[in-house]
Amino acid sequence: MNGTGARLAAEGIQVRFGGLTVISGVSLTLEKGEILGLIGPNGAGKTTFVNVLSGFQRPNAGQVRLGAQDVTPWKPAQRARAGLVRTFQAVRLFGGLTVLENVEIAALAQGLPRAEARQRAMDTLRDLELAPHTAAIASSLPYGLERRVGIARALVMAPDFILLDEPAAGLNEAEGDELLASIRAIRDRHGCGVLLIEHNMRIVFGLCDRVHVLRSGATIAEGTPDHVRAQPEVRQAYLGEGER
Amino acid sequence: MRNDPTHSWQGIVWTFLVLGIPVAVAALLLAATGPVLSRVVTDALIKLTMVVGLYIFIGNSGIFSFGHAAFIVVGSYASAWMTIPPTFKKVILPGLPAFMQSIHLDPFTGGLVGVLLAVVLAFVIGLALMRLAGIAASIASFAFFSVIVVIYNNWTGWTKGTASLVGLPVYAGPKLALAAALIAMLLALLFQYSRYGLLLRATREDAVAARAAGVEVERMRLIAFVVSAAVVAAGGVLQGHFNGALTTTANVHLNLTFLILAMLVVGGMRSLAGAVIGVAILAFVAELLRQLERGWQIGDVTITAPSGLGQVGLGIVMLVVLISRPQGLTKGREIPMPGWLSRRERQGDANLIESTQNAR
Repeated sequence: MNGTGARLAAEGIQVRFGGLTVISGVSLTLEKGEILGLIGPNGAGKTTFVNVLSGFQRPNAGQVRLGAQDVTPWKPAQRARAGLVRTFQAVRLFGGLTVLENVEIAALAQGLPRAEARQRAMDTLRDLELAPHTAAIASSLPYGLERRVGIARALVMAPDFILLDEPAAGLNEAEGDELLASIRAIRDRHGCGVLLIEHNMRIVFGLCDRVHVLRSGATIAEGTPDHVRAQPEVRQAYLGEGER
Repeated sequence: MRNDPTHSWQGIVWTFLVLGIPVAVAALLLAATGPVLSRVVTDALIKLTMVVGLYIFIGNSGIFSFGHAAFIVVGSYASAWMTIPPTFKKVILPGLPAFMQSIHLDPFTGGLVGVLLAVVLAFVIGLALMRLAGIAASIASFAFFSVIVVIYNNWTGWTKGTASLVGLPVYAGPKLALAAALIAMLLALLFQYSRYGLLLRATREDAVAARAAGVEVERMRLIAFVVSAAVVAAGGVLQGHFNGALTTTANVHLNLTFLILAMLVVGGMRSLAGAVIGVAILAFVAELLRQLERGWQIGDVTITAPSGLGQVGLGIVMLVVLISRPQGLTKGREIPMPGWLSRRERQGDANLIESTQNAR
């Protein structure tokens, strides 16, 4: 662990693309050991918000804090090394490299020595039941394995906070359930805080300790799954589309 | 599954030997046949040094650089300033400041100065250039090259510009060139194997994902750029002290840029094997075409190819290879290690997995 404190906080985040306000004044906190669902209809600004948290998008206003530290000016690599790690909706593995190298690289970038980085990569791959695939070229993997390697690459960094952008996208129901169940196991084992963007309502409400609902770049509800589910705005904006 | 030997140190040794021994044997045998082939071989080995230097950056970063010949220019002229005898220097470079005219270093130290100057330049330029990627980086690298060449072209007091700067001590022969090429290859392999090499290849595959994994993308590129510039400049220094003269006339460095890039691309720009094979093939083709241009006596008939065939021929070879094998002749792979050698290494990996399982 990197010991950067027990809370990730975003305060009054605002993002504008040209004249278009994509996120307006969203605040959110994520405690260590907590699973927070970030939901909302398409275009609500969920991925942009994750980009702000991970440093890929500079907000026009607002602050991102990691523990007591203001990390708003920090670059993605610096945040990742400080324990704030993300995955991508499109996975983005290092396609021409092996599965082991994909994970090893993330460990090396933390400054670990070669042997230790490789050992930790092996451990992480084994935890995610990827040990038989270490020598495979990442671009040759089937989709489900690819997504798991993406999570292994994030976990090997021993994050305090992990931001998962639709980790189950494109998986079938059984694969998706399995992956999301493993997220709970990851939280239990590593004690990290998890921010989960996920469309499947059944899973979000079953898995998350708290849920944060965005719509058109603004917060319309937040709280426990039961509380959020009861909000009329949420039902209208999102659940009204029909539970899947 | 992939059979890439360069991720273990045994594989590094293997790759070095399997490429280095044929290069050394062929070079020494050909050089022993006489002064003509000896010159051809020396020239090819110097090109090999340059191409391997270029490969260190391009192969690992995936960024195509058109600017590396600038380090050849900078390195070779600096070495010339340091090593041309002062009495001679006063005559041919009257515009040189007095303290520069009086400097006289031995060839090794002089060459080192040339390499160091290229390293400093690569670092300073790289700070800006390495923020770019893809085609923008390539074009910027070419702009950098143009700036350097135009400066040296017009800075006649120091360089004699398009006229020839002569008087460089001629010390580079086939053995020295071979040593340089082998050292360059070893350096390339060690870089490839190092953590910097691996982290840089991650940025090549996906720079955004590399940042998310905590990799300082620009820093990794800069390290490779500087190492690469040093090796390419060393090749430039040797070339200067092989020809005994330097010039900036008639696009020599532009042609050289094209030649060393073609060598790398034809062989396959993502493996050291590609760099070596590309140089071997294109050096052979270029020499063949040069002979043809000079005229080839077969019995009573002399076949003389039109001049310029060399450049055209290189272009055609490159086109054919790029169309038929876009990844180059080696497809970017190293030469696989035979099973009996790599078994031990796989055993090592297996032990690692087993030990982690037992640890649970």
